[in-house]
Amino acid sequence: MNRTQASSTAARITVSSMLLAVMLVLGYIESMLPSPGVPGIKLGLSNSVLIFAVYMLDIPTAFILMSLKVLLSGMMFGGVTTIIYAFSGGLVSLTAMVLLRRIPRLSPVIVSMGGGMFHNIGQVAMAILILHTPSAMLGYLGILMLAGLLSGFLTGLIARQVMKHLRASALHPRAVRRRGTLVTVLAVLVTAGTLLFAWHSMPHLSGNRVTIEVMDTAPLQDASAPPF
Amino acid sequence: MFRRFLSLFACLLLFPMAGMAQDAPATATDLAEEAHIAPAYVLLTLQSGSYWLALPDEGEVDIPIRQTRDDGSEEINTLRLTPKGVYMLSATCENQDCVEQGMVSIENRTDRILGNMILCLPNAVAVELFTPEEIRAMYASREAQP
Repeated sequence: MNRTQASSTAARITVSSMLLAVMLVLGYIESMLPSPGVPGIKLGLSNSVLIFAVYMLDIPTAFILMSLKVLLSGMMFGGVTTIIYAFSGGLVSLTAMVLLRRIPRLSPVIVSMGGGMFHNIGQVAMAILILHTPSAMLGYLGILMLAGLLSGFLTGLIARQVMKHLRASALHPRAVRRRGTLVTVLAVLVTAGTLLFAWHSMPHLSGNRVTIEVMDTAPLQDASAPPF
Repeated sequence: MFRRFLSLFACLLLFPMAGMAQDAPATATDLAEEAHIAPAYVLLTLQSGSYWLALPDEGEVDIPIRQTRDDGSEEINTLRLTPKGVYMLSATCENQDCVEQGMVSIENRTDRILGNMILCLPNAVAVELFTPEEIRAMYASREAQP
């Protein structure tokens, strides 16, 4: 495979779709692992693929990969809630990683840890927006950020090892790396489309009226006053 | 001048204390008032607002929370209150996280990862357990509603 072939659009599409497939498989494997029942705490294995994309491919491709992974994975194994939370986390996390990547001589492991932490910050921000419980969620944020650092460390190690071994290989995707306006436009479109889709499917966000009844034996006590 | 202020201050300080001292022998109505305070209260936060639910003194109470959308589809979370604590009995959500989060009781609040919370993200239901002392502190420290 020579350089001209490798830098063609076909090669770019091939590498991106291969990475997307890897992310989806990793997401599927992760969905089979026992969940701790606590939202937000998980391994986030596909983050290692994103790290790889941020380092080896271009930034627009990384955003396309993230959006498509969130969308497809949510449709296949999760639900609407998974999509909106994973997307808010992924967007914040990927932005943080892209920015951290610009700091010279920063290890991919550190970048990944930052990404993991910001993933949970993004999710908690979305949770506050949806649930209206800022005080309680902020207390929970500390634990989530710690969990994000830990899982970011693990996925960062994986990504670093993969990149180390791939550097000498002919499959090194740097050949594919090319700046293109088309990819940037596509990335903006895909990301915005995912955001719109997720926003529209959440009944609590999209403006759909939701009537709520709580059936208590005693009349409900509004929390504007203490209960006793 | 300063001394007058001091005595005024002392009076202000002593008056409520004297009042408390007089009230100290509990009357029948006071005991009844005391009995109304549950061991803990559940703060239920929904899109429509926040509500207090008292834990029952005995037995179990089920609180169904029904959320109906414009198109007629509905989601139901059933909260079970027991004298010890609260848990999500059932939920029509996609991941059942809230059911798996188990019970929040006064004893295990500090040991759980989620602390005093039960969260149902798909149906946007947040449940928190507070003791009466915490609630008093909450309303004393800020006038705004939680």
